[in-house]
Amino acid sequence: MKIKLNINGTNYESDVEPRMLLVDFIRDVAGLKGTHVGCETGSCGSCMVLLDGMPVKSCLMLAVQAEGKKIITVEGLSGKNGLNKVQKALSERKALQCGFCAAGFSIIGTWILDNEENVDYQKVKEDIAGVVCRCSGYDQIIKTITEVAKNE
Amino acid sequence: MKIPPNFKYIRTYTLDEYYEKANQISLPLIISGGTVAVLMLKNRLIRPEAVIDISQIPELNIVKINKDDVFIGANTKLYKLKDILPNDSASELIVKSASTVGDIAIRSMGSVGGNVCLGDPSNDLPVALTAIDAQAVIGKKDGITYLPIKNFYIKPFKTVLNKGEILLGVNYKMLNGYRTSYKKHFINFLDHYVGIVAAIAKIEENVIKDFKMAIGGEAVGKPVKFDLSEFSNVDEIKIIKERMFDYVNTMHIENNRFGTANYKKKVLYTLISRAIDEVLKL
Ligand SMILES: Cc1cc2nc3c(=O)[nH]c(=O)nc-3n(C[C@H](O)[C@H](O)[C@H](O)COP(=O)(O)OP(=O)(O)OC[C@H]3O[C@@H](n4cnc5c(N)ncnc54)[C@H](O)[C@@H]3O)c2cc1C
Ligand code: FES
Ligand code: FES
Repeated sequence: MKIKLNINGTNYESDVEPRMLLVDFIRDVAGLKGTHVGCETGSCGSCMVLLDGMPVKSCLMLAVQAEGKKIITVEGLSGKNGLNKVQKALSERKALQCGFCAAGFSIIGTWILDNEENVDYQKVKEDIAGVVCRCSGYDQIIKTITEVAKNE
Repeated sequence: MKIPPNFKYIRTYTLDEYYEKANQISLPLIISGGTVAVLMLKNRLIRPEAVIDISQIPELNIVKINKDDVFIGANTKLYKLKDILPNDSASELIVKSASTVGDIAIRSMGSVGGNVCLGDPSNDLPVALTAIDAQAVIGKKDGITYLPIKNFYIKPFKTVLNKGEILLGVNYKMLNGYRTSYKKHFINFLDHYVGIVAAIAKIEENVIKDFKMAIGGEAVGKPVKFDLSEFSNVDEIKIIKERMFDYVNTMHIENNRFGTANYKKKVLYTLISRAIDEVLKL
């Protein structure tokens, strides 16, 4: 079936099988490899993207379900000036190590920045619960997102 | 990489269209948010002829707040509940329960209907909805029926819904001036909840005016409702707990991969005890 998805402001039209997952459309049709595939069960958050402004796990969604919605991937977070505040802070403070989870934390961190009020360590800890990092101990990631949000 | 089997995809825009398609197809699978449906497809636990997307049916996307009761349309996303429900105590219990589902990305995809209809004993909303005597609003080609949520489940992963039927939403009476408590215990490596307890009580001048509790989780398989309105004195906490423990002891709880029967009973005692303290202690 022919579907058209809007990813990072660009329309991608393709003839796909209804069983194609959103994460596969993003990576293989749109060629945006920043969105990773980890657990494939909705637990690790490596495949997280924003769908109409809300974080979703693109391995748990059919591509066809995302028709008519605005999808933002990790590539879409950075603008003309390069990385956004969360991405820059995660990088500068060396909050991540191998970086496999970077897309998930950049997406959820940006959502926290744009949506949460009275952000503190505990709130960030709860909000990032759906993203797994196998290298770091989370502490530096939580502190970084909390600080960026507090300086907003 | 896990890839679902082949299926036809049908997006429906009206209930009539849904009834027509669902009755034509031999094995249809409803999809709302997809957090579980897609997972089941990927693991090939189900091979439907067609997946019917109901997310665009307007009747399923509304929340109606009437004078005394509330209707939550089946497609309502879990994360939205805290902002759209009124601030009565029954709604408070629903919000408490919904806010413990997965993480924010799961709650932003997952719907009330998906949570209620899967019949997974680990699902949260069925327990809270059972505690407040909510009703399932079921749609079928020839009309609508209302059924208490506590009668909606037959066994794990089996509800009363037949082919061609659909959950339109849930309906419940608003309750004011109650205290609420929602507790659950997670088995991390199995991604399931051993026990879930939802309690709601109204106390006026040390007298218990109303007290309802439901328990759920893998220990019991489907939500069980307790009407504890016979108790009227808050000093009876110890007796109420004993009565509940006695009841749990008589339940048929099996040894399985989620733990021994003894372990599961102990989890339930602990959760029940904490919930009772939270709603009855002055
Ligand atoms: C990582 C992860 C963590 C989770 N954590 C929790 C948790 O803590 N607590 C919890 O309760 N759940 C949890 N879930 C399960 C799930 O996300 C939620 O239950 C969610 O609410 C399901 O909604 P959905 O719209 O995605 O359902 P879908 O996947 O669309 O559907 C689920 C089932 O319900 C049926 N269905 C959906 N809508 C209707 C309808 N209107 N009428 C009839 N049948 C219908 C579908 O056919 C399917 O069988 C988790 C899932 C994942 C992947
Ligand atoms: S790959 Fe999607 S949550 Fe892990
Ligand atoms: S930095 Fe390696 S997984 Fe997070």
